[in-house]
Amino acid sequence: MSPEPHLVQPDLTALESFILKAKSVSGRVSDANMAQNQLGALECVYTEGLYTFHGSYFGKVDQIGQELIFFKDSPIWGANHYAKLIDKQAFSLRKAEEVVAVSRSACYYQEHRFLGRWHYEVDGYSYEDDNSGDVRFFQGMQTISDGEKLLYLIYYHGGLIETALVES
Amino acid sequence: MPFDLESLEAFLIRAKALTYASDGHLAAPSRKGAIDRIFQQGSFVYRDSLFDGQMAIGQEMVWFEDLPIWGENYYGQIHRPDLISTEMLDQILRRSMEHMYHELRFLGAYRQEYEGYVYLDTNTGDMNQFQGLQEITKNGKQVFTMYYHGGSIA
Repeated sequence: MSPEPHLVQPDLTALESFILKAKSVSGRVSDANMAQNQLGALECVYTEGLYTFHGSYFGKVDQIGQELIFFKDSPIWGANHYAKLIDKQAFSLRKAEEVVAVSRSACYYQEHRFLGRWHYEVDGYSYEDDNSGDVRFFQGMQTISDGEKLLYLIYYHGGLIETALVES
Repeated sequence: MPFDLESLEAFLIRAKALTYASDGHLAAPSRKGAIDRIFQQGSFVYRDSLFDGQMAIGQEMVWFEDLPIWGENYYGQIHRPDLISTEMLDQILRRSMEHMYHELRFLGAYRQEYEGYVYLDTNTGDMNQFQGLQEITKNGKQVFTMYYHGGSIA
């Protein structure tokens, strides 16, 4: 019998660096092709070297999405999110997306990270990101409030995928 | 709204029960490396797409007349592969699902003990918006955690 293959994790520093890059630019390289098997999804793809980011998003106002990272064609990391516009009278999706985008970008550019607590103020709206874990396994929630009322929330979680373990 | 929430919930429970929970309705994968399962009834279509293993991620979607209307995603990790196998995990998850679907629900708290493992499902919300956590412990040690969330999309 051959010995069991020794499984090791990928280079987490390189992976995290690619995640940050992909999250920073993927909104601008959106590929709106609707795949037959993901009917109704908006798909975003970003490739750099051997890494490919593939984001797939469903829904117009309340949304669900899955972001996967492939290394040499194997899925090695994933993140899921579900976003809900809580107060559809007092707040718009357009404003929610603007507040999230500005707040996230500030975190990426100022702190070079996408996990860990983050607070940001945009036009009087308060953005909070609270999460636990690290790039290997994490969960969190982002919220927007007007200081009193919850207006928008995003649940998210993710981490490494089985195929991230490669034979050494 | 061309469908009511009761029909959607009834469809969801039936779809969930007939796919992963009973290891049925396998379909061509929507993404390379994924295990997909599809169930259709009338104008509703359900697809579960899973990248399986000790670290697994998946997404369940429901379409009504070709429009995506509801989704759930989940991510789970086995922390102690020395204390639980993926086969045992599948058994525990499937037993729990079977009990819950028999009660015509997929949300709400649930606890089960099986072969020395304790399974606990806790969640908040309803089918319109929910989040939850499934945990398995053995002799007080956390061996598996899964986060999930989802709800209606429009």
